[in-house]
Amino acid sequence: MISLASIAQSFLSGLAEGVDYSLYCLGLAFVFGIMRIINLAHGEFLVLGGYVAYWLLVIWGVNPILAMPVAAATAGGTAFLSYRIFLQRIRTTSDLNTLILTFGLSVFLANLFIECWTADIRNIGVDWLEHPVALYGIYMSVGEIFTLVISLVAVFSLHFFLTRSKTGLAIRVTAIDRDAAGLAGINVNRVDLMAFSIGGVLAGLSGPLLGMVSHISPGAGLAVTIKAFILTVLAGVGSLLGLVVAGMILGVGEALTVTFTNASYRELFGFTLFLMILLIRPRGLFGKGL
Amino acid sequence: MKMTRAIVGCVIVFILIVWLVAAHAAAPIKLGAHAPQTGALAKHGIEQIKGIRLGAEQFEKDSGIKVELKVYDDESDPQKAISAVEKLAGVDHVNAIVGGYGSNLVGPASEAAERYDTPYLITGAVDTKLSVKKFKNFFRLNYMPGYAAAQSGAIKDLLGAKKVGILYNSLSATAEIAEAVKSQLTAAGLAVPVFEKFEKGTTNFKPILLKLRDAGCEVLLVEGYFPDYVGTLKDAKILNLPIKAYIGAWGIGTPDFIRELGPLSEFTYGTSVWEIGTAPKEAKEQEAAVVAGYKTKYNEEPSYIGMLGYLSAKVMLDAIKEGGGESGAYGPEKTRKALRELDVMSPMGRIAFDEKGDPKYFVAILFQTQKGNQVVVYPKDRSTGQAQYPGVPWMKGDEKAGVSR
Repeated sequence: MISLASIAQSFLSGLAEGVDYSLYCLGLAFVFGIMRIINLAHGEFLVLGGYVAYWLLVIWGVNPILAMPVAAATAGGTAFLSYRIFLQRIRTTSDLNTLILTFGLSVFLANLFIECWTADIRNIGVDWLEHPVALYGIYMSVGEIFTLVISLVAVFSLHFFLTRSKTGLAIRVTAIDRDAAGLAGINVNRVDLMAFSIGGVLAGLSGPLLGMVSHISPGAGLAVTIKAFILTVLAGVGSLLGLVVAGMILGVGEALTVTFTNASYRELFGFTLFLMILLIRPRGLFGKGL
Repeated sequence: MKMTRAIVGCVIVFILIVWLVAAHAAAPIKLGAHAPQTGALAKHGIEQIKGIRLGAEQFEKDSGIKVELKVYDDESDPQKAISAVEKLAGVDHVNAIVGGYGSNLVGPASEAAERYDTPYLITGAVDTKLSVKKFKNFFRLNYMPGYAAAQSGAIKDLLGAKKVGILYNSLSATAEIAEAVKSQLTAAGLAVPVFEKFEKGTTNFKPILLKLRDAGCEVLLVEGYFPDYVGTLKDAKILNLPIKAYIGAWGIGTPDFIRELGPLSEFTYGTSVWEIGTAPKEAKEQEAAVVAGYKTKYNEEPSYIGMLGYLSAKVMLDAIKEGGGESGAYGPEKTRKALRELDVMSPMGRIAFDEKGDPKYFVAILFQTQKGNQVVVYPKDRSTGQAQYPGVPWMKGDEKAGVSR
């Protein structure tokens, strides 16, 4: 017999995980929305951020929350270099090129992680962040609360950056019509470089959070990229706030599926939802132009 | 002229001597190995190959026979595992193959080894279905029944629990052990009100763990892998799950596990084939030599996977040598015969194979992590200490470690 408290707890855990999902996929959705590039190395940029936080924690005892800017900068820098050195050169010829190149980049980074940090699974664990907080019999860890807040702040900050700043406006115009943006004096190559780097920064920001709520390993990036891609399609291109709502629907749906049926149906829920959205509303739940 | 004849004569004699010595010295052994060096199982595969390299080196030193070790990365992918075996047997023409990790990789790879008629000794695949085809080249050092018996035996005899919740990863080996433990527990009169399968990659375990809380389970048994333990332990701590013991299948409580999880690893139970100090008394000396050799070579202590890798190389090389005799005329039939006749004591216990290639005497040990150390608590005859029960990592100070059992 499932208790009411368990249903509420399950709902909350799904909600928290859904918001995490939205942060994990923010960078991929952003790059896809602006540049129409499916960055298959997105998960590896995220894992890189996680490793940076892990390293800072193990060597200097830096709290993973405080390590987030360094993690974001490292992943952003890697994305910047990747775009300048590789992507910029092949982007104009075929869309498939970027897919193949980012896939190659993901394989390279995953193997680089093995060389640098071995294949061991790493846990970014700080005792006080794992401490549970109880409210009316419903539990959440301090780390989960931080993760929830940071995820929401990141999504809303990006939303305001795109809608309220001149640079954000330039990015949106470039996403809608590159030629028109170029004629209006916007340096579209610079916008592309900036957008890809921001995608890296967002991925790097999520890395420490992934290590805190779950774990990081060299192969963890692939699962993140797949989940991020599903969520991007669910939410629809161009809706960052829709991404949070879609993340919550996915997270809560998965959690309640486990509660009321069986854990083995969890993934089935996500993929069924994905297929239904593709059939009924191909542009996604909240899809619209930027 | 005489001088020239003398020189030519000396050269001929020298060549004859060299030829005679070479003809009577044993030929080098070509040993093939495959294991995941990249991908999801890389952590285990890397340790396995470390052990295999050490085993090959020590064999060379002890026997004086050169070992040409050829290693391929199967990338944690069944198709690549088949390719690795095909290359080792068909292109490199190795005398035998060791390695392989994960039942889903070893299953198809063992079919390739059989097609190429190459003896194949594996250590990291425990699914009982792997040996039902009775391949003549298939041999393994450990398999599932030995793990299941240790878990159900400890829950029943040592902990005396009445209600057990079992969560298991959907992969074949973990699903099989979960089914086996469940049937052994229910046959002994214990209740298993929660028996749930989860998919690889699950990160939110709270909805499943809440079912254990509602059902009043005393013991949580997780048949999974490292990431599954990390997820379940973190979520169980957040929920303050009211259980008395947490048991994992394999790969739990290792030095890496304790290093990464710290206090969250305390009081957890796990099964293993071997841990430092658990060798039977007849194999204590061998265990010490392997541990010392591993530390010298890699600057770290061997995990049980490293030990399995070492033993697989040692057993296979000894069998090839034994089959080939002094002349070094190695052949698959001779190696298989030597493996079937083998009966030796090792750090993980007695090694001998049945007609299907399964280990005749394999029994796992159950240990509990106590203050960062692995204390073997079951079976009693191999135990190195007592179980602290109830005991879970998230217990408050005054509740911790109630009774020693």
